[in-house]
Amino acid sequence: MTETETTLERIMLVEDEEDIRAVAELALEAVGGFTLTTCASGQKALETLAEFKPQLIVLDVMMPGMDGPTTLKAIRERPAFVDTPAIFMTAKVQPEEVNGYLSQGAVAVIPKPFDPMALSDKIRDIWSNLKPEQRSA
Amino acid sequence: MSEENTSEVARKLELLKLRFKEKATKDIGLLQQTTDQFRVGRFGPNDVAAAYHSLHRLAGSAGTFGYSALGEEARALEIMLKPLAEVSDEVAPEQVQNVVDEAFVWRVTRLVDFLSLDQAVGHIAAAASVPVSGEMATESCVLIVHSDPNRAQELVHGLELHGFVPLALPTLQQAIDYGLSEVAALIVEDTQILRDGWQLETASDTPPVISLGAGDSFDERYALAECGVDGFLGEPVDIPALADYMERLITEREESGSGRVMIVDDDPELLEHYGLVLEEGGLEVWRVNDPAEILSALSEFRPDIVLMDVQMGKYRGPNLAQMLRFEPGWLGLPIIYLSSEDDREFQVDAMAKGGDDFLTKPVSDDFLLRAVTVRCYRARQLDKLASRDSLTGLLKHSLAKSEIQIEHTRCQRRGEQAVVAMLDLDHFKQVNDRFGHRTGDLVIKGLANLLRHQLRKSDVIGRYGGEEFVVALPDCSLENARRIMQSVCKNMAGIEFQSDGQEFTVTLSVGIVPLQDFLTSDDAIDAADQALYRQKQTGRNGVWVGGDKSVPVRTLG
Repeated sequence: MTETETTLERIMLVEDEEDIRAVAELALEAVGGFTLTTCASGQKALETLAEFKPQLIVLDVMMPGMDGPTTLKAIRERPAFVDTPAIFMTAKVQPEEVNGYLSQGAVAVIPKPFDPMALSDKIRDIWSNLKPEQRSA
Repeated sequence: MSEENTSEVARKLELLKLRFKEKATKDIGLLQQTTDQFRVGRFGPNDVAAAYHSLHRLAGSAGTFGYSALGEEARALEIMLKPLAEVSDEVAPEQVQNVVDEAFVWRVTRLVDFLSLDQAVGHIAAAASVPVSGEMATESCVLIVHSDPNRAQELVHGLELHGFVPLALPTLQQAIDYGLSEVAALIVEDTQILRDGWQLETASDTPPVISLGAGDSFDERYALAECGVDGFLGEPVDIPALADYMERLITEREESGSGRVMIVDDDPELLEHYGLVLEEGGLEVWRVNDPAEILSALSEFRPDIVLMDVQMGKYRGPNLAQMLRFEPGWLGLPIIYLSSEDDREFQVDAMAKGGDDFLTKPVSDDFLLRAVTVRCYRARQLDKLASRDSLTGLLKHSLAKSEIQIEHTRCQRRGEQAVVAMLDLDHFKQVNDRFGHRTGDLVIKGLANLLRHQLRKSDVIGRYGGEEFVVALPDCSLENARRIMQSVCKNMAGIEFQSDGQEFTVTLSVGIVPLQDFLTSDDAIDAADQALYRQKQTGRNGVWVGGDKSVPVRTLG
C-alpha cells in the first residue's frame, strides 16, 4: 500500500429490506472486515450521516418513501458529503438505466441479486478505481 | 478469513437463507391472494403497486440467498406487471385482468416451488439442505373447485396445515384450463360435478376426483359415481378426514401404474422385446441375460416381481427359483414363469419348486403388460402389509430401526451428518378417553400424513409405538432438523380435529439428536427418546435438542 492510498473502512448501507441488510452486514463486516452502518430508510440515513461519517455510501434504488436517488440528492445538500462516493444497488440493470444512475452522482451500480461472498471484493474494486481525491479518510 | 470465521459465516448465511425462505413463502402466499383478487376485479389503487414491489423485492433478493431461479421468475413477472404499476391513474379492472390472467396467477402460485430448488449461498455455504418443502411441492398440489370463495379459503387453509399445496378456483372449467396433469387431487363441489363433470372425460390424465356436497341421498351418490368421481365427503367437511381420504387416493393412484420387474431370459431378442414392452407401459425393468448373475442383480435392483423363462441353456427356471428361496430375504418375491409349456403337470411341478405363476407363451404385448402390472401392484401391497403400519402406512417399528441403522452406517462411512427424532403426541390418552379410538386414530393419521408431506422422500419415517413416531433425516444439520420439526409441531397444533361436534387440537413433543455422534443407532434412538422426555417435562409442544453427553442439553424455541 502506498502512502497516497486511503483505506476504506466505514460504509453506510441504505436499504429498506431487512433480509438484505442482514446479509450485507455479514458480507461486509464478517467477510470484508469493514465497519458498516445500515439504515432502513433514506430519512434514517440523513439522521446518521454526520455522526458516522461514512467514506462510502451504498443505496438501494427502490425504497418506499424516499427512494435511493432522492436520498442521494438530500445527502449532496450536506456540505460535508458533497463528494462522498455513492453506489446504487438495484435489480434493474439495463445499460441506459445504469448510465442514468451514474449521471445522478453515483460512482457505480451493483446489480441485485449480489453474491454475499463476493460483495466485499466488488466494493474494494470500486474503491480502488476511484480517483485519489474521492477516497477520503 | 480464518477457517473458523469461514464456517461461522457459512452458518450465519444458512440461517439468513432459512429466514429468507420463511419470509418469501409468506410473501408469495400474499401475492397469490392478491392476484386471485385481481382475477375477480377486486383491488384497491395501491394493490397493483404492492404486488409489483413484492415481485421486485423477490427478484432482487432471492439470488443473494441462493434461489436464483426464483429471482429470475419473479423478475419475469415483475416486468409483466411494470406497465400497470407505472400508470399513475387508477387502473381499469380489464387492464389488470389482461396482464394477470390464469397463466400469470399460475406462475405466481408456482413461485413457491422455486424455493425448493436451493443452491449453495455464496461459494462456501454449508452443505446442509433445507427439506421443508422438497419434492412435495408438485406432488401435493391440490385444486379446489368451489363457487363459494369463503368455503374454498377454509379448505385451502385446512389442507395447507396437512402439508398439501392447495389452490382454489371457482369453476371446473378453470381447473381444466389450469391443467390437471401435475395435480395430485381435484376437490369439486358436487353441484359442479353433476352439471359439468362430463368435461373431465375429455381431459387426459385426470387426478383422483373428490366431490363435496350437502346432499347425501342414494340418487345423488349414484349420479356422482356415474360421473366417475373417486370419492365423496359430506359438507361441512371434516378436514382431517378429507386429508386422509386424499392421501389414500393419491397413494393408490401413484402405485397402481408403477412397478419394478426383473426379466431373466437367455434369449437376448426376447429379453429386449419384453423389456421394451414393459418399459413403454411405465414399469422399471432390469434385464438379466445370464442366469448366473441373478443373485447380484436381485440385491442391486430389488424388484417387485421376477419374470423368468423356464429353460435357459443349462439352467432351469424352477431350479433357479428354488435356489433363490435359500435366501430368506427372497422368500416372498413372486416369480412368474414365461413358458410355452402348457402341460398342467409340468406347471404344478415348477410351482412346487418355488415359482408362483405361469404366463403361457405366446403372449400378446398388451396382455403381458397388464398381467405384470397387476402382479407388481399386488406384490407391493403385500410387501406393504408386512413392512408398513396398517393405520398410517409408515414403516413399522423394526423396519424403521433397521433403516436408521443403515443410515448410521452410511454416516460413519462417509462422515456425513444426520438427525434422529423421536416424536410423541401430547396427552394422547385424553383424546382416546374423551373422543374414542376412532378419533384417536384420525389424529395419528393426521400426524403421519403431515410428516409424509413435510419431510423428504429420502427421510425415514416410522410409527414406533401407539402415538410415538421415529424419524431419521439423512444429510441434515441439527439446526435444520430443529427448524423442520418445529414447523411440524406448529402445523400439528394448527390442525383442528372434530368429534361429536367439538373441535380440539393436539400438540406434539419432539426430541432430536445427531445420529453420527453415537456409537450405535440404538444409542441415538435412546438419546432422542431422552430428549423427547425432557421436552415432555418442560411443557411439551416443541423440540428438545439433545446430543453428546459432554454438551449440556439445551432447549430451543
